[in-house]
Amino acid sequence: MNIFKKQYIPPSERPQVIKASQTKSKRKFVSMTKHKPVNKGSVVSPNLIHHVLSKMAFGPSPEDTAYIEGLSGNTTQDKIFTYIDEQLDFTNIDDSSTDALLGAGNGFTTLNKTRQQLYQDHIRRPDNTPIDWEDHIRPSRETIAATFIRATHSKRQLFETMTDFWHNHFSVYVDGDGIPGMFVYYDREVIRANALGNFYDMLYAVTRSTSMMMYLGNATNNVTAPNENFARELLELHTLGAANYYGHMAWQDVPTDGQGRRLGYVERDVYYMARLLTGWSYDGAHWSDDDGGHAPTGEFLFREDWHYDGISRILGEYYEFDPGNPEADVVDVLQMLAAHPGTANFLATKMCRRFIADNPTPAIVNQVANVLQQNWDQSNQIALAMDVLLKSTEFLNTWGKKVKRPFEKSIAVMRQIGFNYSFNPTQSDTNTHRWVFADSGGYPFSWTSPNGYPDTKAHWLGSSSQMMTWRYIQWFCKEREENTEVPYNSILSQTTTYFTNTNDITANNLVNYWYERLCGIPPDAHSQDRLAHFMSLTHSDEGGTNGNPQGRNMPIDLNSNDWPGYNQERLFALVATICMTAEFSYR
Amino acid sequence: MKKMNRRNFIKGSGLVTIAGMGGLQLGFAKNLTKGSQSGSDLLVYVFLNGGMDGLHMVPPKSGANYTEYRDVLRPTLHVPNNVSLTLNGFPGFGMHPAAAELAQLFNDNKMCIVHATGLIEANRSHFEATRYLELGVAGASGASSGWLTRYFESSIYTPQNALIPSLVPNYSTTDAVLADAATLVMADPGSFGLNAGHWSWQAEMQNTLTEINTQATTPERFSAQQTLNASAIIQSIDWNNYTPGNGAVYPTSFIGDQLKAVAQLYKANVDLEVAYVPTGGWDTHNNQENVFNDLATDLSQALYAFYQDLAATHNGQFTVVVQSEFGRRAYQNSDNSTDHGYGNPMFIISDNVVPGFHGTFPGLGQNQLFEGDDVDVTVDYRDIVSEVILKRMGNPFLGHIFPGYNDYTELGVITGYNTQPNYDFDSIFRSGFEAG
Repeated sequence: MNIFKKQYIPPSERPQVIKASQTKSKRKFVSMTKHKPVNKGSVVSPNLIHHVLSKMAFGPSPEDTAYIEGLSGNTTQDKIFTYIDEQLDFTNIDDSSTDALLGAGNGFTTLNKTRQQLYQDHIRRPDNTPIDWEDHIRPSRETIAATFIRATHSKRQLFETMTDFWHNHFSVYVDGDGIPGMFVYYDREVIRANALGNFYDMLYAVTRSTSMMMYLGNATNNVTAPNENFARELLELHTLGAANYYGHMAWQDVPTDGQGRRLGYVERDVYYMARLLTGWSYDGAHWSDDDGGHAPTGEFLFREDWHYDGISRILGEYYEFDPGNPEADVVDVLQMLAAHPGTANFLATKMCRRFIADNPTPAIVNQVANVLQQNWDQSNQIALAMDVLLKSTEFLNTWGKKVKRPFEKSIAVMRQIGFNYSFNPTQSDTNTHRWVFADSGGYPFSWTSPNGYPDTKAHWLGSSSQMMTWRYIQWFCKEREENTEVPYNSILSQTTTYFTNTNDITANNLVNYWYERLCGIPPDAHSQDRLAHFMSLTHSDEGGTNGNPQGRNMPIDLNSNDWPGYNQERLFALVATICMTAEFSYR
Repeated sequence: MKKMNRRNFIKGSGLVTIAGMGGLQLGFAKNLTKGSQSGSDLLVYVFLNGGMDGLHMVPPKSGANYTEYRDVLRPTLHVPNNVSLTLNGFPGFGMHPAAAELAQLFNDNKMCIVHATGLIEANRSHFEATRYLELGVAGASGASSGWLTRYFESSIYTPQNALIPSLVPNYSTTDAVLADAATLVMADPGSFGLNAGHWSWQAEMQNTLTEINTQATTPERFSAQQTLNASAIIQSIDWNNYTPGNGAVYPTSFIGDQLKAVAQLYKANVDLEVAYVPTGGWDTHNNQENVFNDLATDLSQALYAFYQDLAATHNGQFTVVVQSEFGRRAYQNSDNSTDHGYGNPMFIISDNVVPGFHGTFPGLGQNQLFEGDDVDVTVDYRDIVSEVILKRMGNPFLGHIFPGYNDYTELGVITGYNTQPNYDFDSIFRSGFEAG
């Protein structure tokens, strides 16, 4: 597997989904170095329901907002705690309406296949007949389409944000060699099966999964010359973390905790870890696996003749291979790592960073870490930790210390505008979403290296990801069904439901209503002025600050979508523009 | 004292509010030391993510190193010495055959190679080693800005109102420009604007968003403002009709697109001074021969095209530095490939290079390898980068760019200004200016 290498498609071979209509700017260019920020603003926190749904969910859809408002409880916080309890107990939330979007009628035919079916249908057929590229990548395309659908529509929103979290923790590049064909299994049985469950179970499943073994090469890790790739990332990215890496130090010099446990690992531990993991492979990883007419299955396969049969020393403890119980040495080490306080701290830091702030306080990190560590062998370990995290004052009171990443931002828009296009892996429109969104640098499962998408503001304020995410929002907010021209959003119906008197549908009122709906706060005066100016234009030629807009308090006929005013398109464009503001980006 | 505000940057990028961004001091350096020098090069820094195998790219070709390499370290992975390309005057090492254009640049005296470079402290983690290099620190540190951010903070030649002084032609940004709000991150210039909406309103959407963000009251609005300013510039350039100089042909690959975008933007006269070009795929734990072959071909062709293109119009005015986070293990692994290692060659491409090999190759004998496994590091990579910064960029403030660095050693890899290193930038400006 060639990690760190992104699949390349030349621009000339990409579908021309967007008409090239370059707009020449009328204004003088402004230096990127010249302008000086004005320090007078502060980030205003929205109402609590908007706040919570922007962080633990993929944004406040009108339905989920109304649902929480309708829960019993004396205060909004009571209702939110009830909602958190329900979300943690996700199997009791009826999500059949989302599941109904994932059937064969919508192009989903691989999501329920077994590991062996995936392998033999999409990687290597038992009779060795060739597999079309489209068939090979089908499971990955279905997983991605399902990810958009679930993030947008699922009532189990916390489960979906946790799934996203663990996919990034155990990141596998979906377009890596061989991986597209098996990705359904990785998503379903490795990540989703454990997303609010037990960390050790997930770690064990990851270690044995075809996708991870293909990605980081452990499938061919042989004691004759061990391949360290997975072993190193298992310690650095999956369990103890880089903060507990002591480099080229003698293992005896690593400090110990009160129980005599080494606090971290050194190069020698990577050396032994790589040997320990030799022989952990899958059926089909070696050229000789089809000897004697055997049809490889892609199932986990322990190759004892490849396995290191000596004693490994990891964190100063000794692990010996036992031929009578051949997986025990690895299992023991994985359990030791899963129970290690360093792992709990690393996981808690990442969870708090995902849900609270780039730099969460040590107090909340310690609280979450303690729950993880004390319950490391409990089946609901992760849910217990999330219960503490989500009900903490840090979670409930922190706003704007994170910005939505491209996927989070795009889905938040979809949820708020009632985007109802049903992603379908067989349809070209779904592929178009891929082309337009992929340049944001945030397309699901497409981070090429094993550390997962970055989760700090600094990374996502880069100009490329901002512009490309805005552009995607600009595009899908105006998307319509090709034949009927019916928009794929409910912006018009949400508007006319709210404004019972059509005379109230004015530029000013539309801006005020939609801004507060989308951002959770009223617009500041400057933003209101510019957006109302835009919404009151009657012709695109009126643009610029010296235009001649009609009155901002004149009614706008939303039944009309004709030249030159294009009233419906203008409203869609207004909504999209609000979603591109800094205020919308916070969570 | 007059407040200098040539540049604005967000310290800690979002972790610190704009309250921390005071008047900046950089014009001071400009007036202090500009002297009679006439400007800086375009610096193109190509970073090979994943750990490029230097022993595969520049393999030993003769002597004890070759025997050790062929027989002991890489019995089934080595590049045979009748296959590696000849580097004139240096029989000890050759070039991988897929990198024929790099061999040609070397033999044309336009590229030099430095042996056995790296971080002074070994680290086999991609993510740690890469972060240290991007931040310009020697090891774990609290640095909250990238080395290029600090290069610009202390730059003498960057014009006061530079339009686009730095470019990262990529989908995602890099910590090398951490906390530098003036860097443009842009993978595809053709789509760098709000041109995907309804035809009637899309331009006005961009105008409206631009106007909203003129009130840059938060770091998020400021970064949006920068993005929109850059977009206006980018959209004014004709990207589709470009004729590279000297008939250069960029390969159809991402690195080809990236370097072409750098050349186009540079020629558009937008004050481009530094391009940081990340290019991935070099983590060859498996299937190394095929993977490496493709990567080396793309890299070599793209660098050659870039050299040819710019040499037509900007002869002697640009410098390309090529580096990876570390080399790979001297011993091959069970997949006929290699794991993470340590020392590695760096390349410098310029009309001003001092041709040939520089630095010291430490040898491949068992007792010469670092911890018996890796090519050792004999050259602090900062010495190389610093020489380029001093001689081609005219920036003396090495101690600011590389915190803790105070022992620059000239290797003589390139010719240029006689700028003397200054390690005291921070104390000069701490005493001379009050922020705010």
